[in-house]
Amino acid sequence: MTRRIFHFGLLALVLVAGTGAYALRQGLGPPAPRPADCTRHWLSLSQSQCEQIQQDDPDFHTDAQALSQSLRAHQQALIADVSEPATPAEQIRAQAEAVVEAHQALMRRIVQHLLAVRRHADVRQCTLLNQLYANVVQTTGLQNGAGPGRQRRGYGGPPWAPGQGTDQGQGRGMGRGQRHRYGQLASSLGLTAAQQAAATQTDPNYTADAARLTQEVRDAYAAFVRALQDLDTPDAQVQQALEAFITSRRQLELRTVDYVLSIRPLLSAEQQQQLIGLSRRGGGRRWRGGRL
Amino acid sequence: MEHLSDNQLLDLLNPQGPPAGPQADHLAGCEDCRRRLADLRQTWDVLGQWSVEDREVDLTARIMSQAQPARTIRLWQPRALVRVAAAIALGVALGSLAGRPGAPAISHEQVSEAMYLDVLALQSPTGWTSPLLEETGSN
Repeated sequence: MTRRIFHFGLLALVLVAGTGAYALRQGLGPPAPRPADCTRHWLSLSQSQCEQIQQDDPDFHTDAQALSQSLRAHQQALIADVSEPATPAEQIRAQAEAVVEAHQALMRRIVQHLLAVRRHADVRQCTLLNQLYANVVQTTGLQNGAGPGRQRRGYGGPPWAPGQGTDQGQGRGMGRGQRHRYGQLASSLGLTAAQQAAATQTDPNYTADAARLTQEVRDAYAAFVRALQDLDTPDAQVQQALEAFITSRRQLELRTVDYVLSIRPLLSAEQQQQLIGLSRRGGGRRWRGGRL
Repeated sequence: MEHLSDNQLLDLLNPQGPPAGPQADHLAGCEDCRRRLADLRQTWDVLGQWSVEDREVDLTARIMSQAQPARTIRLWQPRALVRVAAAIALGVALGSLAGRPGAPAISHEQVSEAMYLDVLALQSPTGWTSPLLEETGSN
């Protein structure tokens, strides 16, 4: 083989190897970004901002992962307890309380981190952060069957926040004063009229309590989101709003748990499955605890 | 008279004519010079019978043929193998560099997930209050 042919061969080899490597690299796609990188890229945080946040809240990702795993474990245990007809009501209630507490711990940790990020972010980055909150709130609203009235409210606050937006009363928004179908839980469980009557006899105050507590939860949630999105709200006030939301939701959750446990003996096998399905909805949520 | 020199004797070997002149006269009277001339004639005759073999050697062809191995590369030679490996490595490096994906596009969902923001959504951790929190209640 002459030198000339050999060198042409080498050139061809470079081209073939290069093309192969290029195709392989393209096919593999970009590597999955690390959680910290997601936040940094999305908010365009500078190196110094990242270091300050890291210094301010060094263990966020470790803590949040541990807490979400704990939440997931408790949710799975609750599903297992509910799936077993012989499980005593006290045990289910204790497990449901553990789920609520694990969820509260995770929420507190996340808000603590968000406040740390907010402290070191500039106005533009805080606006981006608010868009993220709004996206979560909006997603919740859309999942709830939001209509145009909700969607037009934009990033200013949660969709059901009183006095926000221009289309209150239109669509299927959840503004203050609109009625809730509190019998929805009975419908979800597929209770018959007779069972509903029996349930009302067993726990006559639940409907009124649920209505009041649900509205309190919504109001507290709206206040919490507003405080989180308002850059002028001091951290302590945001945490206070969070605690108010956590407290009201805990009351609603545990009140509903007590009600469900009181009517549990009335449920048929099929209705038991509906109840298990509801539990799975809690354990299979979008949050990470439901993904691990 | 002195004896004839070797050059004069060689001149006398010239076959174009008989010896003449003073050199011929000396030769007639000098036994030594006649003997030397006879030796020279004998040597000359022997040389005349020697033929040089001409093999028609082509030096250019021979030099080129000797130089040919240097212009030829065999793949199993270590140097060639090293070059092949280097070419592959170079190609892979260039291809990887060119095909390196840019900064990954990060979606709302990814960053929300990274910050666990979905935990802040209005959802029931037990699932049992979901019908209350998610219902729309327009009627």
